[in-house]
Amino acid sequence: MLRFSKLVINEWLKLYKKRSFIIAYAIMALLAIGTSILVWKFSDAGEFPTVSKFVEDLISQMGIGILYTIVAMIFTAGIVSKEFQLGSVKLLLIRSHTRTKILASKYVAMLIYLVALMIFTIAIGSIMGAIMFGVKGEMAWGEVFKTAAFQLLYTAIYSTLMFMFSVLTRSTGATIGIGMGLIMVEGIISMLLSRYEFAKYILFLNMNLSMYSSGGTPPIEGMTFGFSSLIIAVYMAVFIAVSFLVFKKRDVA
Amino acid sequence: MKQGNTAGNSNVVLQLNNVTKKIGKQTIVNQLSFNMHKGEIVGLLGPNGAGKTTTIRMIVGLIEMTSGDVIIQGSSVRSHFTKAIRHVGAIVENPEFYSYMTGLDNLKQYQRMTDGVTDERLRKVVELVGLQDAMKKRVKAYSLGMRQRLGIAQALLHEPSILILDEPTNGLDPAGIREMRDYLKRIAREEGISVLVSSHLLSEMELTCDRVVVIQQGKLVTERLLGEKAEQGESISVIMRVDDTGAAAVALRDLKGVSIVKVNEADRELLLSVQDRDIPGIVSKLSLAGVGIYRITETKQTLEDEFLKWTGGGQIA
Repeated sequence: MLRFSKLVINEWLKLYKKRSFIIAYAIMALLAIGTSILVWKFSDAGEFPTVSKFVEDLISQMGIGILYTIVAMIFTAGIVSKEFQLGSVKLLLIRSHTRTKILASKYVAMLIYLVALMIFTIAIGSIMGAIMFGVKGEMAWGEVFKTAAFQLLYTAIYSTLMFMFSVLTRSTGATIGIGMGLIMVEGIISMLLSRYEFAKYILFLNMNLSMYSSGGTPPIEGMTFGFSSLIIAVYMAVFIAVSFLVFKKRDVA
Repeated sequence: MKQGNTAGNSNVVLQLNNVTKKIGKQTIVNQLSFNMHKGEIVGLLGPNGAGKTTTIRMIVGLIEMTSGDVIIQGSSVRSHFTKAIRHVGAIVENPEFYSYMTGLDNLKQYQRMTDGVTDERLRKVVELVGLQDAMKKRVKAYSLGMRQRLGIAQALLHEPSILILDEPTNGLDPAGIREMRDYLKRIAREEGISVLVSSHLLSEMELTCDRVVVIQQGKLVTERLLGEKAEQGESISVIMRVDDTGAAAVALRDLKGVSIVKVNEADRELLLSVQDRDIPGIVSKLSLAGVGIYRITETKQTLEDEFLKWTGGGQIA
């Protein structure tokens, strides 16, 4: 376990030591600050949200949640493909570790990145909320946590898919392109196909679990929280299995 | 063909057994077998496209073998990869690092990947390759020669017993090549480790290696001892310039262990195939016969000729 955690530290450092590392955080900070200013400007003093309500809306799909997903995807897309592009994969794979372990350390580092960026966004959102609207009223941090968890899951699904593409294409550009393309067509596909019964098995229609909590109706009748969770689990398992099998078998030429 | 198998089997650190790689219908490496002994510098020699890089990548597990196996210190690369690879330090083609990180950050990555690599060891390796002053610089700013040295440092970090280098002098200038050669020899001597190095340049191999394994089209062509080891018992070629080639030829005709390969009347030169220990005898014999000697030079031309012959005179460089 100690050795595995060292591999994860290595992967984290590879992300962290890049000069661009701070950019993702700067973007999220600017988005949170900008949103707080907009809300402050366009609502009357009496209607100010509580800090927790502001943060909850901020990180939801309605707020900057989707931008969080995009930023996280862009900055982790190269976690596998960059090694191939730099050629450093050769020096990485000739150590006394199995390829499975090395890829797993990358996956774990990617998930840590997602969580860290979310925590940072919530922290900045809370600070801005407190500054702009004052600390008053009842705080519902449980709701914030729930919204964050749903958004994290939504992002983790996309990131896992990107992780697979990163392994398959060995190209960071292609991976980001595919990821962005999918995010853009996600809504249209969901809309067009939601009248067909089979569409409930499509990942896109199940990804956002928050649709069950906010009292909204699922796109297709009969879909439940449990059903969507199962669909997500199956897709994730497939993405992960493909990633690991291909990475393990691939000749590094 | 001369087998370098002078040492006993207990000394074998690396063993290739019928290693084969097929991609589609093409056979890149065909039933390749050879051994490496402790402390030996072995050159894997062949023209471009002979399968050197593929062979090396199979040894270190970057490419899967179609059949055959590689045994490193008793462990199979195929079935016990992590155990076998522990003994290996390698640079496959140019060493590629995380160029946005410093040299030290890069080495620390590899330090974390192996248990028991102390900071002291890291410092020692950096000193060995002479990069102390460059450790805090980003690798981006390194010259190719410095990258090669950092490559050697990462390969030596975990105290391997075998060092494997794929075309280590590719892209280096003559000074860099010489530096690399000195490092290899020093490492083999000081750290007592075996070195396998691939190249398409025979001249370079002659200066570095104890033995060469020549391959072409994925197949073993020949194995040869080189340098000092070859001179103990194997013939060398010597050109002698004398004042009278005819008299010299007559005087040397019956000398034991000496054969006259060619007589060049115009340049007054004799090409002899002899052993080191015969040279004093030749000199005194010629003096006795009253033949004046102007020059005695060893020539390695024949080895290169042989290399061309082995590899069918294909494109070498």
